[in-house]
Amino acid sequence: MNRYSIQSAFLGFAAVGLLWLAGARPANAQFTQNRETIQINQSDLPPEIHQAYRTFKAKCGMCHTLDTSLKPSLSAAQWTAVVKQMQAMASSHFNSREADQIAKFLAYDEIHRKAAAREAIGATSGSSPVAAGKQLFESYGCSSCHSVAGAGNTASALDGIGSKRTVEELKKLIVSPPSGSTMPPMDVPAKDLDTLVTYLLTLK
Amino acid sequence: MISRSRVVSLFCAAVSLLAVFMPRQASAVPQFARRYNLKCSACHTIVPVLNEQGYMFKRLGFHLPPALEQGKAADRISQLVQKEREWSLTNNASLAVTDFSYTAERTTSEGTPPSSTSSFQVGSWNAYFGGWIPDTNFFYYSEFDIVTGGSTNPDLSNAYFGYSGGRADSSWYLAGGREHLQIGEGTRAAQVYSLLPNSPLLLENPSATNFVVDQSPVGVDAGYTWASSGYKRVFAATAKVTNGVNADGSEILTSSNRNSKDVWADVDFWYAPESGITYLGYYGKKDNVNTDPTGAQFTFHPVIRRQGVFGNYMFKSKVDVLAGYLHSHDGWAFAATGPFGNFVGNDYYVATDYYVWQGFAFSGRFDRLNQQITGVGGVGKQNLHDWTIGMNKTLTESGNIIGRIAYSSQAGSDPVGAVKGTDKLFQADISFNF
Repeated sequence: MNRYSIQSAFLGFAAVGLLWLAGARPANAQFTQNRETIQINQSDLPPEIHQAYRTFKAKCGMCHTLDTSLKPSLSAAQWTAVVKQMQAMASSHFNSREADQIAKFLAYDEIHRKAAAREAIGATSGSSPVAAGKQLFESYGCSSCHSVAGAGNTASALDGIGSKRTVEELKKLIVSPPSGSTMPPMDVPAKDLDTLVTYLLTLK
Repeated sequence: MISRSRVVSLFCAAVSLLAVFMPRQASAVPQFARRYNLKCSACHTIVPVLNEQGYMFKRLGFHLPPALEQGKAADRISQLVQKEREWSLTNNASLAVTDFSYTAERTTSEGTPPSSTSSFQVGSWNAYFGGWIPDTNFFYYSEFDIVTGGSTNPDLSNAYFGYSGGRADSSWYLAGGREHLQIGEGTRAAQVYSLLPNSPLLLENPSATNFVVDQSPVGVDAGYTWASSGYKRVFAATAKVTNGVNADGSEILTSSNRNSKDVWADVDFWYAPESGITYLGYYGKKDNVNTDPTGAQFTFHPVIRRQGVFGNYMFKSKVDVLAGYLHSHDGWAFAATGPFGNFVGNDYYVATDYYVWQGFAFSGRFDRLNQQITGVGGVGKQNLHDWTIGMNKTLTESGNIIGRIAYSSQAGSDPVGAVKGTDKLFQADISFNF
């Protein structure tokens, strides 16, 4: 190896390293696919959901972590539509019977584990509606499509939305987004909606 | 002070770990998994072998192939661009894709003493930078190889720009720069990537005329891709015009007095889940240096032709059966003024990858190359055969760290001098993609 090669390698490393440091994002751009924070305890599932869960894990787990798959909060009909869409992706390779199983588990998870987690938010966030709203933001999976301060999906940042939208506008955008929008209508109870909007209004 | 037995124990433990966590040629590009928050297995069976989604991702100019639902209009590439996540350096660069390996090799060749070597080495260390130019249909890709084959030898082995258009179910692209010859990738059996440490011989073995398919020449290419709903069937065609290669087989990267250009064609058809067939063809010319019977060197200009068909079938997402055939037909000169002949090669391989479960697979492959230089002075039909077995295991949830163990045995004789030789190679490596 000659001196030129060593210098080239060093300069290459230095240049790429500096660019890397300059562009690194602390929270949202890390490689999190090795991290699973959501745990599903199979013994908590009723027998008729066991097979549905196994199908979900085997098929969805090919591409997604549990965290990614279970983050969004959708109605049963919306989950069915999402699974149908996933079925039409390259390399998804699951049939309609398996698609039904996957949608069945996701709907079950929505009304049991996720609902229980949301109920617990009020108790853990003390008296602060903003803190509760922030937890609901995560719980409803808003960060699957939106980011706040660089955390979440940066394709649609919500920074500053509190100074651009009124309370009523925000509520309408959540439960009844305009037609043509990629955002699904969210089935959020009135109490959670108020708390969520309280948090969004702080994003100025 | 550490006792000798402790040192020996630690050394044995390190060797055992390496042997268990086998090594591989690192060539996945983890920034794409990072950008879309997907596991590596979204686009690979096991890194670096591409599945149909990974193949489509490249064909669409590094955009994730969207759902193709029956009866619904497919997204335009420009719509995919608008849905992409915000551009960031960390989502477009992979600083280190590397592998660390242990190899032990024994080679024999008629007329020379046998040799045995063994080594720990950083087999490869590559940095990638690729993605798309924000809010446009232009894409780019570069691969900077810092370490290759255990040697520090900096080389920008891929550097190209392109533009993709059309819809996800009927798209096209134009690209130019230094690209791998198989930039269209081919279906599974035609890919230069393999679960085993080395590609099939027909893709990586240099011919008597110093030509190898596994090369990255400079050129321009165009491709068209059609996909049915749910990607149940995919048809793709690629054509490429390149500078070709120098007499020693290295790519012509700058100006050359050999003004003719080489052409490459690739037609792929994915017809069932993860199964497909591919046709490859190459036509070109190159300079070649030979030695005549008096010992004098001379240069001649053979025509190079390659034609190959490849196919695989994946049974129940578990067993992948692959096969390939490549016919080589090159010009040959025994002396500057003749006589003239041809180098003819018929190479084939059969392989099986058994995926025990996601991220764990056993593989086996048999290769055979039949080669002959025809005409007065030729040494008759010679063959080279190789069998390889191996095992791959992903060591992380996402599949970005992989261990591998492989053993191969090669024997045969070369087509020029009919010199017999053997090569037995054990390799254990672990690759890191981040």
